[in-house]
Amino acid sequence: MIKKAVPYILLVPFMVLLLILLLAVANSLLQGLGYMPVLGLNKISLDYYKEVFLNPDFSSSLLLSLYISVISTIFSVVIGVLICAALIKTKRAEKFYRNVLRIPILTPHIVVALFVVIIFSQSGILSRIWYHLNIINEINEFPNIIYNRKGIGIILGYIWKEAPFVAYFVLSFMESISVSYEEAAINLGASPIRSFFSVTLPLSMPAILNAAFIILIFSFGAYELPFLLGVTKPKALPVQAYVEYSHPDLRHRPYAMAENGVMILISLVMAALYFYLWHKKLDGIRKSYDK
Amino acid sequence: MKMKLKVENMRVVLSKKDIISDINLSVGEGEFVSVLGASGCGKSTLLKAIAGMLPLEGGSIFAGGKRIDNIPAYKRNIILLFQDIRLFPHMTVAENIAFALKIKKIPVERREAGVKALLQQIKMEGLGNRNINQLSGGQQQRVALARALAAEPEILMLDEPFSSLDENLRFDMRLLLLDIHKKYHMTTIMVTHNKDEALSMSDKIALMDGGRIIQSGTPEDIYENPVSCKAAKYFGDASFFEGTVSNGKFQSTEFSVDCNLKEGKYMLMVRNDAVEPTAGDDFDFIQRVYTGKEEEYIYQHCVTGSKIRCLSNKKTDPFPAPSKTSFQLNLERLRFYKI
Amino acid sequence: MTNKNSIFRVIMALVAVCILIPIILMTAWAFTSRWQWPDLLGESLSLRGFEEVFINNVQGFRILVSSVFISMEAAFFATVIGYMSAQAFVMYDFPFKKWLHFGSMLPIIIPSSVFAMGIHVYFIKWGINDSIIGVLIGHVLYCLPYTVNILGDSREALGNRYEQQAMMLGCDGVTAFFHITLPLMLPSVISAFSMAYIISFSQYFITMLLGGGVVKTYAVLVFPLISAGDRTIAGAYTLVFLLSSMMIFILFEGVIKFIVKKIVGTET
Repeated sequence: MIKKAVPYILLVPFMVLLLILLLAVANSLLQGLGYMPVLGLNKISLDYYKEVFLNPDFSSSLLLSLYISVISTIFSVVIGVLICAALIKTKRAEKFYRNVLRIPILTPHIVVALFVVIIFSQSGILSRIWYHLNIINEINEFPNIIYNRKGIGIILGYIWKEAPFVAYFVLSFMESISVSYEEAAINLGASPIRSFFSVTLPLSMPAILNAAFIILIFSFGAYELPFLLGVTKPKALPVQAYVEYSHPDLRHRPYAMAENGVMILISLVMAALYFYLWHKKLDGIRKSYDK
Repeated sequence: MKMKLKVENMRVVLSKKDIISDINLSVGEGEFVSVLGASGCGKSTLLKAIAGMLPLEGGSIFAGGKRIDNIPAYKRNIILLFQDIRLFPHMTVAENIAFALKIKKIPVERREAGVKALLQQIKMEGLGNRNINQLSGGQQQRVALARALAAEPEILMLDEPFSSLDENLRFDMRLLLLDIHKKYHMTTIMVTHNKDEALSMSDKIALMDGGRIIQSGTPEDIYENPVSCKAAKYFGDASFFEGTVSNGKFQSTEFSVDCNLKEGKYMLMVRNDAVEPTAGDDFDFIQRVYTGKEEEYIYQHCVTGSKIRCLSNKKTDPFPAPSKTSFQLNLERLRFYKI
Repeated sequence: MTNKNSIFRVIMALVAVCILIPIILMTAWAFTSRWQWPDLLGESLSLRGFEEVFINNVQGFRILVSSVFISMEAAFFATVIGYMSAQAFVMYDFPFKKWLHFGSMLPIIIPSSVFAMGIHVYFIKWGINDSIIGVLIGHVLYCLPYTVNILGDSREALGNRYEQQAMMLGCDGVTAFFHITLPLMLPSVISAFSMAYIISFSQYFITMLLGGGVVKTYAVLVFPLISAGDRTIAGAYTLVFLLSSMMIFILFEGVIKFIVKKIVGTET
């Protein structure tokens, strides 16, 4: 009987932490639904969610966050896969490149923000180069690349960090496919490019998709980069939620939690989408070489 | 005979080590050549280099008279069947077979007809829509073969194609391969470490050891006249005795034989079917090895401890197996190697 | 064939440049006295940035040291709990396993800011707000998906064939664990530890909210400086931040290589 309980015993610390996480989620959802006894609010109501959705600030925040996460994910995945393919074919200095690729993965987001500022801000290096190339004459003439309403700076920061992550994540997988199946395709007469797109890329999809969703969900809900590189309006959703949260009037709390609730829901939808794609489309591929 | 493939002085280096060197090999059109050797002797490397997957450090390759070692792999039309099969997991059986046809932009109807014909050839009609992971090992092997044939290769190469199959399947697959070889008049190169396969299937055998071809010739040639001890040992059923030759006579503790050789130290090789028991007690009985059709008796010399192997056919010539005996050798079948 | 390869080499070189240039620039900025627009080179070499970081701001240095300790603790717990959980998921079959396994990936789905805001009231209720315990709980939770993943993959690859062999030779479970399994798992344990360390060291929001102003890590210290005016000082702080987060990682990589060499006798 003890034997059967062993896995559960091993999982006790994990389950405690998981419960804490679930408690946080439940609390966010409940408070977002207006349930805050400490304020005398005892009724569940969708009013806060309704008001939040009607609030133009909120919708622009939500759209901005979605925009940032989708765009940066698309670019990071394409660039990351490209880097991965290039790395596999580069035999010389392989070790050096692999180590260089890890640097962005180990770099905290806060530091990445400073990088973006150093290079792309109006007082940054790019601006100075443009001055010397006579493209601009005054510091103000340099376009506002980073602190702009489309979050370009934030997207650039994410790409710098996430493209190498995708490359690294997919690397060992793609390498084993390349060495076996891609070689077979080339032998059968397919050019290297053709065999990459017909064989290696489709077979690497599980790993690529995995990486894509990790960075999609992360860049949607993360706080640091959008705060450091964002503008006053629109704020990205996590930033907006915290502003609401830290409002001295506690009656703003349910609004903050409703915004958090939306983030939770969208993240869960993204995760569900991933599982759907995983099980429907890629099942065949996975099963075949899971042997 | 027209030379379909000619390899001259090929040398391949991997991780700064010579894997194969001084390889000279010619394969005639329509010939079936086996490259035989122990694991690690470089035979797979040889195939990969011919197919263009590994760069040559030295030497050249000619196919059909034209130099090909500077042509990229995908243009060489030399198809290699890999040891680990490598059927594409994301495609069905039919799509795998049609792969080369699709690359060549062959129109759909002709592709489908081609696939159907090949499926018939490998006796898997109607299984075109199966997923790869639903196939057994033998079926996968056959689909890989069909896939290679669809590409209409000039030269077909196989890397230990039957090593993962069990005995019965192996027999069927060998027949299928030989059938295809005959039907398409296909120049075929097969790598194997199984000597029986090489002996039974090939027009020519190239014996490899340590990255070099140590002997190349017909199966009879190699079996009866191995060029060295190593070559002889490959077929596994020989006994060896060390001795010296002087005054036209080979002398070792176990045997003395008249021969026409220069003075020096030599190794005498005698196959187990060239040995007969006679009166005497030089050798002590050690072991009997039963292989179904035949029996092999292993004896040890009472002084030197050298072992001798003697084959006995139970039905035609049963061996009484005394605890002590002497042996006489078939002088025509003996081979001597200078050491 | 060489033509194709050179395209890839160019791409990789370009990538390396894009990765290294920001770091070089930041380092350069950290070592100047002033670097005004539109100069392409800093005014002069100066250590005033580092003076500020190490000498003027004594508190700052203390925070750096305590951050290292906090992250070490977080990494330790994340690794131990991750190991235990990975062992359960990989080596056993039990009801709800799939759900629990999904649960270990939940921190990747739920943003850390959402978690912190959601649990804040409860931490206050339980009296662990503004304390190391609360911060550690948050850090460990957000390191778990990674440690469970790294240790799980390697635990699965190892299997229990060596343990079984050991037990067949007469050894009991505990001894088998310490003498057989753990040494063989050591490289991935260290790998999980370094990953957890870096994740914890980089955490901002959780420490900021759940630590109040009381538990300060280097990340929290450096955060406001990014948008502040003096880029030299920001650069110096960020450089120290970056180096101290990577230093442990690099150190541990070396340890892993050494261990693997000792155990297996060859380099991986």
